Amino acid sequence: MINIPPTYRPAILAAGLGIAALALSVTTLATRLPSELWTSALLEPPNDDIRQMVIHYSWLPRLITSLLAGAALALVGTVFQQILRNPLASPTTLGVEAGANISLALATLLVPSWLAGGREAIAFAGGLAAVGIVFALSWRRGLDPLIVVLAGLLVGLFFGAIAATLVLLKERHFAGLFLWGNGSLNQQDFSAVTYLLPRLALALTIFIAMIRPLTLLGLDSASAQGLGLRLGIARFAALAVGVGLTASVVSAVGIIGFVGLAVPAVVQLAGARRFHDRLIWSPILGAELLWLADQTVLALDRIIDSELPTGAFTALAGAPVLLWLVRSVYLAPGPIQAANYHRHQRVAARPLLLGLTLLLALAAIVSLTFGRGIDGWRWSTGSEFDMLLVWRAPRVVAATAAGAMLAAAGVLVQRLTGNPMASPEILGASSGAALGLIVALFGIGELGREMALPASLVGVGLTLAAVLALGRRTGFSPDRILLAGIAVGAIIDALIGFLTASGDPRAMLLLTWLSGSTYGVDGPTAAAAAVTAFVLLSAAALLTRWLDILPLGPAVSQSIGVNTRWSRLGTLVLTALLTAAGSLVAGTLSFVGLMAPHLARRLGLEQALFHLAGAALFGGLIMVGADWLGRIVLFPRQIPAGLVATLVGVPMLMWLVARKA
Amino acid sequence: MRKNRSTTVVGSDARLSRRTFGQGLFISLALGNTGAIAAEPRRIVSLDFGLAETLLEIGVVPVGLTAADDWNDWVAEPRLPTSVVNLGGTFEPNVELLLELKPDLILLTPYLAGLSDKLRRIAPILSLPLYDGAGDPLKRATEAARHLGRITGSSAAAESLITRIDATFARVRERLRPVSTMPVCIVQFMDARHVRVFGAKSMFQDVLDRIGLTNAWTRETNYWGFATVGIEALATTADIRLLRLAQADDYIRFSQGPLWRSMPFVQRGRVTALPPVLMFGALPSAERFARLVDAQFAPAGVGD
Repeated sequence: MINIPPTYRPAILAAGLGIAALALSVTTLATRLPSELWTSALLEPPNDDIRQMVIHYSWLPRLITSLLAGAALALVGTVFQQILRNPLASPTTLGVEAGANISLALATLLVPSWLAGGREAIAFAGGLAAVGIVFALSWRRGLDPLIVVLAGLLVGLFFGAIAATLVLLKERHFAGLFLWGNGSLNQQDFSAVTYLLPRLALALTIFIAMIRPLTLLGLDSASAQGLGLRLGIARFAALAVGVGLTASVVSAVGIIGFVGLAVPAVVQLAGARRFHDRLIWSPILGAELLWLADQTVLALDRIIDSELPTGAFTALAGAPVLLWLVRSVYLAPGPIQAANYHRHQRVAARPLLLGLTLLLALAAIVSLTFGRGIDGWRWSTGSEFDMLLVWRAPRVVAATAAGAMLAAAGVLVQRLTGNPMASPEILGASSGAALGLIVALFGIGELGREMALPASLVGVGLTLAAVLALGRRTGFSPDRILLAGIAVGAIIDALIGFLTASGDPRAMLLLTWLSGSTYGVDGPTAAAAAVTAFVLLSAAALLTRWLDILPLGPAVSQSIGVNTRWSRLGTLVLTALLTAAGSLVAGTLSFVGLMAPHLARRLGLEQALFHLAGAALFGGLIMVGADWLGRIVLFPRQIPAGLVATLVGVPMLMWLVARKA
Repeated sequence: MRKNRSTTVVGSDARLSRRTFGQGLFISLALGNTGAIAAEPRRIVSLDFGLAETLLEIGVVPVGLTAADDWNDWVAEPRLPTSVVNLGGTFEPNVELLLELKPDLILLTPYLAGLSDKLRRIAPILSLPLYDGAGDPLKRATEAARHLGRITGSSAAAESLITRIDATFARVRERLRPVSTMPVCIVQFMDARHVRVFGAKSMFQDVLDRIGLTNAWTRETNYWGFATVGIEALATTADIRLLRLAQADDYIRFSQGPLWRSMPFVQRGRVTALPPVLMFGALPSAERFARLVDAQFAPAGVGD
């Protein structure tokens, strides 16, 4: 094999991608127009030849838009990863896309007349609003990189949940949102090109001008802070510019999120280590990759005779790249201080846990007796209560069990990785359950309750096996497993996005399930959930010694005599089981697994056993409350409990994050 | 305490379901299969717009309907009586409201098969296919109308509905004969750059066949008979008409630049907006679509 000097590798990669994309473009052009007409079609199409007009006003601007959007997202991704010092940072982690998406949905519902004048301005405002919230939340923490990403993730989830709720409530009105949410590059004129080009040029100029402070920001926090306040301003400015550019892309073509996450990683892997190299190569490779991806979509379009949203396709194609990267990419040591996990117990745990138990009991009683009917609000007693109990009890039991299981999974995975951002949802297991359901729904054709259970279990099993196989190569290093989980989750999300964007009405059934509805739970299911929860939570309680030690890091663990490898594997398997069982009821959108462990620790439950118990109680409480609210707030329509948990819980969590510890 | 429970289907089945799962399953299957549907159900609930509009046309007013608040935007005709109780979301009909309504029959389509076991515990169910991916929705809708007529004792009304619709199709076909050589393309705008275009397996396709028009869209369509495509996919050299389903999409301002203006149907002024008509409907919607097409094309169409 020829030994290529690292400096040339990005150039060689770029050349290869460029040739591939060009060749594919020639192919897609050839299927649309005879070659003798190409010059006239591209330069000056005659008005009366519709084929040439389509090439000039649709194929050509689409190609240019793919270049611009790809370059912009990769550029922003590189800058975000640099200034947040986090290889998982991307435009998505700031919630910009979700903000744009939700503002469009709300405008569609509330003020449709605004859309006529400023669809893209509305998306832009939504994206900026999301970032404004992120900044506000992380301001008091000095825009700490981790807090920014955490807040961004939460804002994104929050807006995503509102959008999902709107789609579920007004399913007939919102099919178009799916297209937007999946980033479609179809063009009918040059408006997106003329919109994006100056914005990309401006952002690139600013970043190049800021190259010195941005390079310094890539150093660790302590050294960077030593260099003065100026860097704080530089970080803020770079974030703002990146957000502006992302919002422009989203308002022009929708969400094409994976490019901003994957391309910077590819660039680094290709050998561009220094920041100014990455700043140059990222937009180039990003442009080429999206170009290649979009032309692939166009070529497939002719074969499978239906249009894929390019955004869903890039995620489908890009996620495996990340999965592969997990094995080799350099991961900077996480900014989490393990010491955080070992402040001594500050509160009397037992009275606190008793209080939480009573609260949970109270919530269950309210949920079982209070509701709405044709004639309005009612407390149900006597025979009416008996009749309703058959329907309400399974929901309450299943919600409690699912919440407790997801919360316990959250405790496990957060302690395992020493990362308070980790959650079972991020491990990819709940996405695996979704995959199983997709296969059942679209492969077999029907999705009864009896099919859902085995289908999702198989899906979780396969996903978990994939993630664990990846983790095994790296001795179950927490960061890599987290990354593998995110990658697997992204592949599955891309698949879901593609299916929903196709407008297939069956996708709505899937969405209902993913959003964590307890509607389909019957008595036996609820009983099974309760038994599973009891068994798995007991098992988790047996692991608490590991859970106390693992956050201290491998060195400490091993010196105490804990086999890191086996304790991690055991914790992981249990996490996966808890997640699989929990998300069967609570769906994949509920962030109980993130929220409940946070809340428990906020109350001062530090020791693993108390942390676990407190989180499980909080998890149950959140889900029972969410289920009840979902049943009554928009009566007779119902909001899935998982979504309500996100809608209510996330703002609460954001408020907690914003306060100083 | 439990002895107080009423002895309706609801109560007895619900009590059984508290026992073993197998027993409950057996009972609910038995209930569903042994024709527990009342001789002439009076309190019918529909979980599908298409079945609901068919009921209304044969003179039976359902007591409840899911997503009833969306009716006027998407179905428009026949009007939905105000007595019909809104049962909430399409995919999760409100169980507690269903219990309160005490229906003697729940109508659904195979699309909601996942809810069957649950619904059987409330009342007998009847699942009638309208769209199942195999096509022929008009034929399915006709069968559904007959079936609904038979079980509600309104067979005569169902037959006269079918006859009336056949007559409408025949009349419209005759009136459109002068313009029948021109294919039509039926679209619904999704956003500024995408449309749904209806083709094979859609109700609109079946109606076009009956009224003697050709569908300009011959490419593949999905389960429900449409494809989601970019607006540029509508470009064709053929001389066609574009029918735009203008429901709830007034806000969509799509690009009307050089490409749009160079499309033959735009150049020749052959773009028509239709009032709301249910795209996944049954016989009444099919008839309404035929009449709307007729109203747009027949009078001016001859001299177009």
